[in-house]
Amino acid sequence: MTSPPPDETLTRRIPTDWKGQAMQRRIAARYRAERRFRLIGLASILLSAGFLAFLLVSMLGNGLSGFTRTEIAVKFDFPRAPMVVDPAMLEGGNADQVLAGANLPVVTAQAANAALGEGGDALISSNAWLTVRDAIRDDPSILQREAVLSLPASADIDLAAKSQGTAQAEAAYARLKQGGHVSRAINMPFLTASDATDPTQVGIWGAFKGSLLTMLVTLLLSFPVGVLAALYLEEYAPRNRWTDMIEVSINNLAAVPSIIFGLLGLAVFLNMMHLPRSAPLVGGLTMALMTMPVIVIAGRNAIKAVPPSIRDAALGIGASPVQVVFHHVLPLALPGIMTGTIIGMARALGETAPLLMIGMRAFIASPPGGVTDPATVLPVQIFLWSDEISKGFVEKTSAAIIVLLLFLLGMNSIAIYLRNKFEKRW
Amino acid sequence: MTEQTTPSAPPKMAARHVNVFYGDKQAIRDVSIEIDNDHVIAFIGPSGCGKSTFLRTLNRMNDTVAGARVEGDITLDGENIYDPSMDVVQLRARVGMVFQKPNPFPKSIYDNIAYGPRIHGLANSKADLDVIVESALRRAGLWDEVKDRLKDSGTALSGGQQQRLCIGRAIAVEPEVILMDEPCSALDPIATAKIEELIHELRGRYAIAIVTHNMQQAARVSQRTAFFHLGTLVEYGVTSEIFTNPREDRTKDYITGRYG
Amino acid sequence: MPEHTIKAFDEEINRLRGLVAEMGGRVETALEDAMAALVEHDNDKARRVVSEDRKIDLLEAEVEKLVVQIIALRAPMANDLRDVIAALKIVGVVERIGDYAKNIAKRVPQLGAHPTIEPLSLLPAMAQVAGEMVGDALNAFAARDAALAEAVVARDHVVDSFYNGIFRALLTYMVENPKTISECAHLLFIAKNIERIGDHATNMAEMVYYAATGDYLPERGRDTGIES
Repeated sequence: MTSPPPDETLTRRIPTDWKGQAMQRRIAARYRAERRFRLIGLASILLSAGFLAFLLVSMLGNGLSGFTRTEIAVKFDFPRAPMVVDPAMLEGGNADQVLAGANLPVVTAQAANAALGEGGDALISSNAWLTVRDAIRDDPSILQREAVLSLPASADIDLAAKSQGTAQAEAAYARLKQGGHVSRAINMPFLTASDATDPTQVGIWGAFKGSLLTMLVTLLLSFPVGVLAALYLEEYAPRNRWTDMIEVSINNLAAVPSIIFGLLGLAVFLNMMHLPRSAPLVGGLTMALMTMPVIVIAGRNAIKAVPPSIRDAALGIGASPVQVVFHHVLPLALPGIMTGTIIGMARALGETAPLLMIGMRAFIASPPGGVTDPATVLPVQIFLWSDEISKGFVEKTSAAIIVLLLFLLGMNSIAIYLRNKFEKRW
Repeated sequence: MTEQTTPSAPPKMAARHVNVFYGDKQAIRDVSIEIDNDHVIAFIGPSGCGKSTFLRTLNRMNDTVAGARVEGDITLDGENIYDPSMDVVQLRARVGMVFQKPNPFPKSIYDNIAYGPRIHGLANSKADLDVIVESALRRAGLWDEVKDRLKDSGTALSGGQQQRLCIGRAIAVEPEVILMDEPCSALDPIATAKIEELIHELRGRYAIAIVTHNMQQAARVSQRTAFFHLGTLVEYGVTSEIFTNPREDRTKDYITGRYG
Repeated sequence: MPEHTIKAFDEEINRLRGLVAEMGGRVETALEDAMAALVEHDNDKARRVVSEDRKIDLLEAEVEKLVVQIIALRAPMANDLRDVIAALKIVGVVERIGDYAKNIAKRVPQLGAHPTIEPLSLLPAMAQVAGEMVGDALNAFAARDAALAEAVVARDHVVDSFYNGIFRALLTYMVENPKTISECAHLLFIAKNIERIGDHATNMAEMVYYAATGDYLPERGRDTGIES
């Protein structure tokens, strides 16, 4: 027998009026809330997309012209030029030295004056003679004849060509244009040269290579250490107060402001260990300190996400703990670990502050040859150029930003490719 | 019924007065049981009764659980498996295990089977390994279904096939005992029937212990049944006796559906 | 005994017991009525007994159907399984007992209004013992009472000695007075039927004992000296 319900209301419930007006209103309100929520979500997506688009458009607008330069055609009459060069000496490796003593700047200035009228030497870049040198080196036969070379225009003219110059420069540019002397070409030196004082001469290669080397050091150090730390903490370490403390410390380390890592690098690597200043090695070490906690955290989560059933399966047929880890857990966790690594690396790539602390903001006019050579990195280069007074640096800054973004894009693409390649489904 | 299991040869595996603790909690109380080649033994009992825990002490899978402690003797061919001289890794190869959820490695079918023989160095050449893989798959009743796609991922198989792959993976290392922890709980009746038939065929060659929630299954596949309740072994005997005429009221209430 | 977690299972088992009890009640009545008809030479009553037997057969069919259904859908185990199987076997036996009662009733008109033969007075007493055995066996089934079932088995020899006595008496009668042979033959068959009923009750009791305990009764000496 069922006992009577304790509460009278239980038996007196009116059947729900599913079709009633109040119910209809409630349903309508529910749908409205849902639409509202969708719209808000869409709006926030559009807002972020808008910001991104604005960034890209302004960077591309400013920066693309940085990859081109204005060139002025100048006719050279080498046989009559006031220079003595023995073509025979140009064979072999010391052509640059030979040409350095050949009075080329004067020759170039004279030729410019002759071709463009009085004051012509001011219209071309002060380093235009380097272009002449390269031309002679590549083809010594032009010394025997007249030749027309395209020389880089001076910063003023270059800016005028991009409609940003002074009135005077604009006038000079207009004259040159009438004379049919000017042309636009890809600014190859920008991609192959290093920092310089003249905006027409600057290149990004030095900073790019510096970034590359720094990232390499960071990756080689932080990835293995981070992954091994994550593996140990997840698979071997006992759960006790000490490991809890280590976990908290690692989480906090990931949130420490980067400038503090810079100070640490300065104190430890430079002052205590006397590693070379401004070198990618020290930059990479500092960045590795910063990236490691991120990798450890991402790695632990990825390892945790490996189903325990796989561990059981491997243990159940007699795999040793190390075999379980390296045959099963690590391969399955690797995509997640790599995602974390790439996030950490991307953060390190964009980092400026700690590198300033360890001296990677120096003016370095030649690309680093190794990890111990002085170098700078892309974000620092951007920071330095944005500080320059000369107007020609504005577009170079934007161009450098584009290079940095492309670097980042390339890194992420590799990461996504690797992740998809290693990702296993089960 | 007073049938005592007194085989002439010593039992393959024997547990004597085994207690298992998780920290302060006692999960198994004074369990003694024997597992042998000539019969499949089924462990039944309500959830949390300790039957899975007991099964996992038999190949020391509980070692991976923090705070687990085992008292008493568990012997494999007379050797105490909790003796410090016993190599756990080798023990787990000798006492294979099949789990509740089919858990093939996310590797090819071939590699799933070959993994155990590889890590234990059971094959000297690729040809050896091929033979091992084929015979294991044949004994697992899976060969005809997968022989043309050994390179496919093991996870692409159906649930029942995956479970047979896992059984094949266990027998590829030629264990002496196979422990099965609810091997059919995630499978449909047809796949279940195939596994049960497989268990039937493997009997005699391997000592088999199976944990199951499905009493019909215990009745179908086993010759001995052990009923666990609250960590104790309530009743242990010939399956047909347990299911027609249990000695203990707790057993009777459980198998007739009057539990709790 | 605690209830099943699945209540419908209990309901089905109870319905099965109810049907078996009803069948047993009808059979007991049939036996009593047949004996009364025999003693009172009441041919109408005898005919009623014969026609009522049909209902017993129908009940048996219903129980068989229910048993098959329970086995198929509930997969009974242990004592449930033994109960269900015992019910199936018991209704077969009960149906058989019904047939014996019918058989006795069928002989009533053929005996006619003959002068009372002395052994006839023993038959109702024998029938009463057999009927009580049947009733007790069914009660033991209903109550899962192994002791009662054992008692039923122990009483079998009473029916057997009744039979032996009647057999000898009728034999003497026939030798002394051959004219009564046909009548005595009928009475002998009736006695034999009652004896069989006692045997069947014993069988039932053994089934009940197994269903209740899971063990078999120790084998009794089967040859209790029945002179057939």
